[in-house]
Amino acid sequence: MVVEVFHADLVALEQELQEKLTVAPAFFRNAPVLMDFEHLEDAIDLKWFNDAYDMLYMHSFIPVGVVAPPDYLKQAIAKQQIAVWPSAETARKGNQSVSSRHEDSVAEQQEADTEERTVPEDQQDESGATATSAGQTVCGELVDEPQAQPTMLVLQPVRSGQKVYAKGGDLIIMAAVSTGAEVMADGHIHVYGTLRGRAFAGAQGDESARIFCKDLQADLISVAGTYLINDDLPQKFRGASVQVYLREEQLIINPL
Amino acid sequence: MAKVIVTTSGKGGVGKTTTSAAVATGLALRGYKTVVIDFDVGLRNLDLIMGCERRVVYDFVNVIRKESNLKQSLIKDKRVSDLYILPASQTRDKDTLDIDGVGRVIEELSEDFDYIVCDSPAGIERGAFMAMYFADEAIVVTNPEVSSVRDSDRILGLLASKTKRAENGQDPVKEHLLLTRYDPLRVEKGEMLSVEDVTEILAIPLLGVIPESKDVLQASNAGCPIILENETDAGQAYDDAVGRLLGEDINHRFIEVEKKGFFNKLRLFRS
Repeated sequence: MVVEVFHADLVALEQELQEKLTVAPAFFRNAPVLMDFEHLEDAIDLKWFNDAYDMLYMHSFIPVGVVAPPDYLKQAIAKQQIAVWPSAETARKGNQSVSSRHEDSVAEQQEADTEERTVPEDQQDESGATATSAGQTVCGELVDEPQAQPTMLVLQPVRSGQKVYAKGGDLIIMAAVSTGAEVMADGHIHVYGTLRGRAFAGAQGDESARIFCKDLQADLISVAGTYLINDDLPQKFRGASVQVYLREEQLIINPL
Repeated sequence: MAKVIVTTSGKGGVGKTTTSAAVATGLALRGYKTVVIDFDVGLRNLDLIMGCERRVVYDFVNVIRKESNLKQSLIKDKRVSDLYILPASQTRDKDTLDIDGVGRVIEELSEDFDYIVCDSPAGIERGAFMAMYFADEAIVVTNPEVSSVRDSDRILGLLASKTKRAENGQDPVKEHLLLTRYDPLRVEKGEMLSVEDVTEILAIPLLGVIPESKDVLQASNAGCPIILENETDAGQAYDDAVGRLLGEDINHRFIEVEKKGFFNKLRLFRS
């Protein structure tokens, strides 16, 4: 869960929090929260931060991290063993409706199956219900992947209802992706077969990610949250061998 | 050790039970001792298609619950020796199928039989999952229309991930595509997906193409597996498919529209 801080008035902040709490006290009890200073214009100091921390704690929140704190506070906060994330602005570009949608699926996927890098069977029923809290999606969006993972290689067709997610790296599929299937990668996606399903490159916001495919018939293609649905694919690229990339927040399709 | 074959499709009404009955009968006709199990607990049909509905005493669920033994529950076919039917229960539901029980029955049958054909219910729920879990091979029954093709695609995904073979990291389940209710005339008019369309999407080997035929319904109503009606196109197509299942190299028939040749016209004229 994220508490977005718009001003430094602690008393007013506490009041606003109290209002939220009365709506669903049980829901917020012991909820881990991030404090987001992205939109904060007032100056704050360490004492203010500590007071805010205590105030949240008193209302039975568990503060676990801060987003975009002022630079001069970063070290002091980190010393108190609280996680510090950079600004989320870069990861939030692109179409809002689709980005929230694919963040959900990223979170779902992380829950469902990240350990074994095989073709996981979709578990929409269970994970759809669990992986919807705001905290999870925001975390999924902000976590930095420090080192690149090896490229994931899939030799079997990706069938309707299946999901493949190459976390932290590229995805190469040597067969077709059926309609109703989803392929995702934090990096590029290559499909050396017909792409009929949905493809999400740059699933965690990497705008330089691209999609390459031998035969474009996709239900949906998305790079870093900006997407095109099948209906919007230009006729001349249907069935063509293409690459898809992002330029000035627009998806560009080029023949290969 | 018997080979376990599941007949499955995802979608309902495409011809799974007709296929199970025909394939099991075909295997038995070729001398393999075969049993066909109806996994559609609560909506049993296989006994009707096989024409043994009046001889059901104990069923699959009874065996799983150890209320009867296999010998009491298996129904021996009256037409073909070496062919046995294990009917589903009509009064229970699919929750009564448990993986240990089903596994035990299949293991027990394996000792006596060459082939075990599992007739899957429609859907991707418990019944279908149980039917496919122990399979060595799968016949994916598909109609030449988009919804059936998509459901088959889904089932192929499950076969690759939710079977015993997949879970134990053994060789994958061997997949066969059986295209049923195929009408070359409608394909030619563009009203139906062609063999090429379907094989291109599903990307698995083609076991056979069964032409759309009135004979199938008639045979079902009469409780006679269509493969025994060996003068019908559908019966012959099933016989070819069984041959291919056993590794024979047989040319595909009934894919093209029959050309009205000179002699056909002449015959028409004379009659």
